[in-house]
Amino acid sequence: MIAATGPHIDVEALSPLLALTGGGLVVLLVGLLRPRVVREVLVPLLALASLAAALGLAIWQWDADEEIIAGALRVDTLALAFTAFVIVAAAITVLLSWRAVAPREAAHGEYYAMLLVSAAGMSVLVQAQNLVSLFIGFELLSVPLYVLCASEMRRSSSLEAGLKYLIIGSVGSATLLYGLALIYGATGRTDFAAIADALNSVGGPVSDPLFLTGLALSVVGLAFKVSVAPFHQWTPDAYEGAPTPVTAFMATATKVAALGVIIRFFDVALINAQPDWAPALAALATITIVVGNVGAIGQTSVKRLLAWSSVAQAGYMLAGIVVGTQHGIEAVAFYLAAYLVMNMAAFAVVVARARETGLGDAIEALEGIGQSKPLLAWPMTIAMLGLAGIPGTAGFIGKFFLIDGAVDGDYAWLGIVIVVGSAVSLVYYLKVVAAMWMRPAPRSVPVLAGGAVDDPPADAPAGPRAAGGEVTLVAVGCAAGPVVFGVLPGPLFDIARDAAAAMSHLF
Amino acid sequence: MTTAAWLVLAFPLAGTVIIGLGHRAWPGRMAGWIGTLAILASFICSIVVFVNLQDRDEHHRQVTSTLFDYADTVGVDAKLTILVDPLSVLMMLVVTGVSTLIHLYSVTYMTGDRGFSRYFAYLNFFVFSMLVLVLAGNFVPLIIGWAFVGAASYLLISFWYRRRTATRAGVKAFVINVVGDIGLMFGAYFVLREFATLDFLGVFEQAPGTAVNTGNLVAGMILILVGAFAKSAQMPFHTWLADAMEGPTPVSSLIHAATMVTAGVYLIARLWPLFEVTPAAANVAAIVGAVTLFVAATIALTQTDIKRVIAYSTMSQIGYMIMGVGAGAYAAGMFHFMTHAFFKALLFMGAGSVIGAMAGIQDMDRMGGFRRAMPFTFATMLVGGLALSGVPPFSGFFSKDEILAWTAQRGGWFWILVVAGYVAAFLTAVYTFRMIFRVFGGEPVPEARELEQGHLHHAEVHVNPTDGEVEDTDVGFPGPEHFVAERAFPMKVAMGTLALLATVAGALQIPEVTHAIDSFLHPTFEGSRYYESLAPSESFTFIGMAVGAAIGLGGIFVAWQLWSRHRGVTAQLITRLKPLYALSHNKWYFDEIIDALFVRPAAWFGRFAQQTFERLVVNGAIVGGASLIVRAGSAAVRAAQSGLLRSYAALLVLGVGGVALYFLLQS
Repeated sequence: MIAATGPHIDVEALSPLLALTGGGLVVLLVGLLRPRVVREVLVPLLALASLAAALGLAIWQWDADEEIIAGALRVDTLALAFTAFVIVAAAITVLLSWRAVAPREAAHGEYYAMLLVSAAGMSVLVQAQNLVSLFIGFELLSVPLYVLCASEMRRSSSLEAGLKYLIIGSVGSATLLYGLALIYGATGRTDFAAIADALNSVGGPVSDPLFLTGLALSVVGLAFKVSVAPFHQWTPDAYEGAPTPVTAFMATATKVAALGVIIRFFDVALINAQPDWAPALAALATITIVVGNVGAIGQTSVKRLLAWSSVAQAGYMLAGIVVGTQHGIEAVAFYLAAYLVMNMAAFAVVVARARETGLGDAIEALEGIGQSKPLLAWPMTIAMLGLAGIPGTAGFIGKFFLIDGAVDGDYAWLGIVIVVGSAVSLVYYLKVVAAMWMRPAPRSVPVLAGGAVDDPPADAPAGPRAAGGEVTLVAVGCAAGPVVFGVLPGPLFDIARDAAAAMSHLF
Repeated sequence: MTTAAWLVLAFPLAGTVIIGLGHRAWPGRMAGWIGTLAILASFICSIVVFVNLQDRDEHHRQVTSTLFDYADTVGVDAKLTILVDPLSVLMMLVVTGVSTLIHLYSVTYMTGDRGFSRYFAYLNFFVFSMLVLVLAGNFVPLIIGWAFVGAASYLLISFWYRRRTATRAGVKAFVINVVGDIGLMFGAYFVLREFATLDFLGVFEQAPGTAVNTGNLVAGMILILVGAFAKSAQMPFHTWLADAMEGPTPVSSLIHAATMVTAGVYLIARLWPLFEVTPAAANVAAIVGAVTLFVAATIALTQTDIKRVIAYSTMSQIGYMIMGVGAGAYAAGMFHFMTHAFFKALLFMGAGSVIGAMAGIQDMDRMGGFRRAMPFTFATMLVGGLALSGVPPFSGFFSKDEILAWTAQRGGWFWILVVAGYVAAFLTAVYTFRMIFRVFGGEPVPEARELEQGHLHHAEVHVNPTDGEVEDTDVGFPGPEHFVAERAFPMKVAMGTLALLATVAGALQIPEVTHAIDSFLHPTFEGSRYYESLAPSESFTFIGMAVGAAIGLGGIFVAWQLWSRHRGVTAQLITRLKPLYALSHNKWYFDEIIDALFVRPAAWFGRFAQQTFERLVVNGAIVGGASLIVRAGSAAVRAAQSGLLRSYAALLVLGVGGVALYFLLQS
């Protein structure tokens, strides 16, 4: 007998990730079965089950704080909280995709499997503890998303979105990889903690041009994924063209994962170079806030509007990272959770109205629904007001928190930028609200009066149909979040505090 | 015990929601009964809280309970905390108790009004807001309750929303109340800055340690007083209260007599530790209270609208309370608050009954001789009037006298306030019995004769009593039916109970005999500089009581001479004292002064701002410029968003170049 000693694998700490990848495999295989009910019902149910299992395992692990797989990944409250956010976003996406066109065209098994794999990639990303696992997570997240964007194969704009996202995303990945390679070259380490040590040592490479170039390139590479201006240009096109459930997933989960890795990369590995990167990130945040808010004005497509809004929101959240304090990370975690539910509510309404009216995601599809569809109009209203940061919603508390964090970390001017940006953002958020409540429903829109959800034809169904109860449920459920956490922010505060506590080396 | 206290809050809220959500479904008077029962349940819970509190040790009668922390971060402790102590329990008992009776009265009084359910939803909401204010243990719920109460008052004053006079009165009340809210909020900010906490007990603990009359704290307390004055209709924020009589009569009874308008008194008593370290602010309160009580009493002498007479009387009586708590006579002020709630609510209910008999007319010039037609209303109003005039042994006598006797103990210039108080007490007796003699005495008017023959007068055409405009009786206007207490059992029960309380409540605190209120409130005011030391000597007390009784009876005698025995003498008096009459009749020209000082300049400034400043500077330069920039930026961003990958790549290269350049410059 030869005793082979491989690396110790901590299955417990790895279990959320295993649930996601395992679920992906099962879904892919089950999706090959013939019966329609299996493909259309069982497959999404299995996806939901594996997400539920992953969420349960993540919560079960909550107090963990350990390195796994030879230091490649780190399971701590920050990683687990962000993983939980991603899983929630993925589960909501499954619900929104239930009757969507995209999974039917791309085959259900593949669609949901890619969704799960992408979520797994995000989970790896927020746990990444060295440059290699960072990049693996980054690609594991991105590649399925390129495909998902293009999954409505018969719609050219979907294909265009997929292609654009692929090209720009690849440029981003290449830039990031180049940057990581240079950082490795300058420090000789891939491990985050070791890089931090190397930077801290006397005569370290903090001001070495090699290191600084690497830093610049990795900033740019990561900025692509969070859609930070001026690297945001793929965002409106990809968001608009992609199937709406996929857009919702990209707008929320990708942001969670990318911001998670930025927190880890900058606040762990590069914390000693903070004086170098903080002003650059602050400048990028400012540009992002300005460009996002200005770009959103005058949009007529709600998805495009939300895309620009997500650019601006990324700028707000970047401010929490710039300051490099626990307080800032707390604010980012809090804001991400609020942002996630508010965006999901908005996208759910877009999905519902696109199905009901056949007008797609144009803002006209929302006109007059304050009267006819209060169950959709209220969630959209709450989401818009929450994203704008109106008091009484979690968006307000989150923004307050971010501004407080910025001011605390001696970036008061960035707080002012956030306030001004929010003021400008009312222009387009309120436009949506006004369309719903203050304008009559356009004549040409055929409004379906309740009625049973009839089976859509197997081929891409054009024209209006019922939205489906699960979409309304998502809209109402997600809209309840900002209100509940706006009044009772306590539980969310606790999660954010736990997440930030993982960064115990910060102030 | 705190569970019961939370239930006190929960019942009225539940009532609001249930009535409001089902307002189409409730048949007949159902909404009214739901509302009444909700408040009754709240009253019972208040009694439970009271009993539990009395079981506790004297030094542990301040209990707090926090429902949740709204924000406990960045140096702000905004928590939803209630503070249960003798002071809040006294307020709670009176508020819920009187509210129950007034709800009961309203069940009949508002029958036939098309907004019946809406009325009770508002009324329950008011009680909920008032209880939030009373139970608040932290400045945040206090401010919330304070603002809610103002909103509820607005809703109820403008209840008949198709009456232009009513909506205008509602807006006026709301605006003045919001001025007060702003004062309270800024005041709370000053307190937070000084003590770094918003929690009442936390603030009170630190208060005695601070220096006397610190500039910041005095400023903060004066701002808080602005809130108190606005809500309690003290000068110069009093003009809204008389107009608030546009609301339904039970509303005047509950909100603009018994409960909401006394919130300012409660606030000063609640924050006594702060006022004792800022005597300058406390003196302001005492002086403003004294001025108000005098001026309002003179105005009440010449008003002819029956509800406005009582409204000015309310202002005057609250002036006594504010003077009392401002001078340190906390228990006396709260005692007067309680007795006043009984007799003033009663007087309003009586007025409502009289107005019912007159089919909506409120002008006393058209009333007279209702004594025989409405014996019950007459008897109860007489009780209320005697209590208001301070005639022994009715309750008002003891409480008013206690305020004056205790204030006199402060000596010095406080004597001026006391003399004003006694003069106003004389005027009070005169105007009260002027009202009673004119309404119930003399020859019966046609309406009274009709009622004597067993038929309630009904108006052919419904008119607005303020401006005589003809109205219909649809929703938004008063309903077609009117009610008198003689024919409505619920109204009788409510008025009878209050008449009984107005008669006997004085027994709680007879000088040298009983001191129930004093000893009950003692735990709240433990450590106060004035609470015990101000007690007057025995001889002083009795002299004061004798003077008070003589003044009350003298006032009634004068009123009898003028308006009962020698009718018509008043006309000669009016011509002879024309300037004085005009001053009083026109309410000391306060509306005109405020109009000239604030409204007109504000309107002028508004016109200037709109027509000149806004057009040229705001629209032209600022908005025009800003929106031009934003629009140009938006166009630029959209132009860059061409959809072509090659232009994206170009921008990308620029971006990477920029970022790299920045970092390389660091080396």
